[in-house]
Amino acid sequence: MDKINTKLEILADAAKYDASCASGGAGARKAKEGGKGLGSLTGGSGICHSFTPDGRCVSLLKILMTNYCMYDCHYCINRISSNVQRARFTVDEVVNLTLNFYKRNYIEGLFLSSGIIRSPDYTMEQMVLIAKSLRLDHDFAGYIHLKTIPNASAELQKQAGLYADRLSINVEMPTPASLAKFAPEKNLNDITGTMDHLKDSIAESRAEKKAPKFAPAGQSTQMIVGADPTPDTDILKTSVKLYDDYKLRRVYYSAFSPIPDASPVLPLKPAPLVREHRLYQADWLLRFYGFSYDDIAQGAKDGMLSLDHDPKVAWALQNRHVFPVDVNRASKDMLLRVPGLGIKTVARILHLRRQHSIRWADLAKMRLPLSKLKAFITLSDYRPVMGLLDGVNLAATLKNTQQLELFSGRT
Amino acid sequence: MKNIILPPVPEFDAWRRAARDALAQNIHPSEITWNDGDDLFGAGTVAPAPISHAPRTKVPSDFIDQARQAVCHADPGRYALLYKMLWRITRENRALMQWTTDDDVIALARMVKSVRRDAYKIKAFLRFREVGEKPGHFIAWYEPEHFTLGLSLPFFTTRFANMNWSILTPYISAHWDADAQGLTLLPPQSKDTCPDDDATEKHWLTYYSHIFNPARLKPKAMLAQMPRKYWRNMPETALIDGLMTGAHDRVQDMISKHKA
Repeated sequence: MDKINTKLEILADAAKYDASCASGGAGARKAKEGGKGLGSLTGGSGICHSFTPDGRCVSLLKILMTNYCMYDCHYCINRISSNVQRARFTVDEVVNLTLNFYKRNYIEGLFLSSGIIRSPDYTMEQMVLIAKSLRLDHDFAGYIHLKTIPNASAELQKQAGLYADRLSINVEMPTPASLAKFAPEKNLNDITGTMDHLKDSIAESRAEKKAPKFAPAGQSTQMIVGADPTPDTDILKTSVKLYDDYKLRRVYYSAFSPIPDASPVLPLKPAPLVREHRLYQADWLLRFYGFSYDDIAQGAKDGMLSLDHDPKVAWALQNRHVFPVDVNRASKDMLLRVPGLGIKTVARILHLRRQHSIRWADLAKMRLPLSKLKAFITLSDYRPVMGLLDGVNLAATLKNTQQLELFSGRT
Repeated sequence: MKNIILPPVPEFDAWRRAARDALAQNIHPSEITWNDGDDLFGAGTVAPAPISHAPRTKVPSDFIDQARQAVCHADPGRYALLYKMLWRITRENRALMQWTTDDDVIALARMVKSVRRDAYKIKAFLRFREVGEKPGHFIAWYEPEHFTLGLSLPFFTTRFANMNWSILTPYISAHWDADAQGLTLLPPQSKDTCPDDDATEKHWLTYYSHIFNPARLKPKAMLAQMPRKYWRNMPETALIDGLMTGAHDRVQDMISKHKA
């Protein structure tokens, strides 16, 4: 019997509920020349080495060090009261698996998380040993993401940041009340306190050129969506706070889905994946499209984002008076508000309109979604027909399902 | 009519020299046929391009950057398109590249996009297998859609600088010697040179099937990023059908146990 294989089954199963598989943002890097080192970072957004039928990319070896855990968080497959099979990797086993996978070009690196055993410090120390061994014993230059253990000592966090490209700590639930209910041993202040520490260490290392690198790809977090009744707008309010206060690189949303041997506290029904998708779209609008929290909330109903319309369309439907937008004259900010125009398209439009006036045929050649755009724009040879923008049918014609996969590759 | 034969494995400089000569002689794009040579390393069929003495024409750098990628495209019409655009840039409109809805500019942009994607997918989807005593030799068989191995090689020589490896494709093979830190390009080798198993591969397959979440089936999202044309050289893709068929029952099982 192959012991590693059995452990891998259990500890990959236990790790799949973490959405992040990002392996970019840490800059370019390679192993020391002339040494025995292995690996590089390309400096871009990382490479997706495979995709599973859940549409997620496989970029990292994402495993738990162990799924034994002292805590009893209801949403978690590894909580102490769950009867799942348990396993624990040794430091060397994780190191060897990572190197062997990496050498075959399966992965960009390691994403290591863990259940809490003995104490937060003991657990964190073991995880740091793995990262340290990869970096120092093997001169491994690939990507390392460590899940920080809440309440682990500042000294251990400091060490983790020296070896890891990214650190993360999950807030898990969007409100303190839900955290108290679903994760009785966890405390929001501990989590945000750790984030605050990490934020300072990251900023210090960035400010000082000669300072040792500390988590160059920054920190991220994850919230479970749909296990508790918190509405979308409150979830996004938490996200805005996390981005602003702790300078997080990413907030991940994970639609609650059934887990083996689930706690009776959990709902029976999985949250719709489209809800998670809408949250990612809103998150994108907040960070890259100049939308404010209030803009997003305007398009929501009873605190919930529309499942039928993406949040940009939902906002546009509430703000028809600002349309149609003149593609040849509008500001960049305004173009970014037009449903159907993305960041790249807007850049192309700005470029093109310096050369000549843009016409309907140009948009067709750019393969833009014309049926979505037509109510919201004017061109030198096009105006929407009377009533299109104010018509009662507009909302119905803009319902779409084909966009659902849009953000799926970006986990 | 002028007939220009370029090396079967595209070299940007060979095209550039030929194009510069033709431009200096004022040969209209409709007066040239461009061909790929068919004999990879054999002598004779491909006349070595003469060192051009034609005056250098200044051309916008974004055209050169895109042309460098586009010559790697498998479309036999790529050289003619590039020359036509070069002609238009030098004779008609130096700002042609900014006219992003011009048909030629669009055609070139599509070629470049396809080449970039292909070069990216090699880095993503190529799988090494190890042969021999450890540390062994790592061998991969890969079938790019275009002539993109060359564009991807710096990635492999950097990332795997201290491993001995070979990458075999249907049109060329690349071999890296870790001790010498040297790369050798050779004619293609049979796919059979690549071993059909590897000690770590079964762990990879285990990992792939266990990191999959059956409660979130989204095959379209998977296929958008990893279309079937890539599957045949990726060992884990053999598991996909089974994982998809079993997903529904696994989820129902979890839900019914939850109720009980």
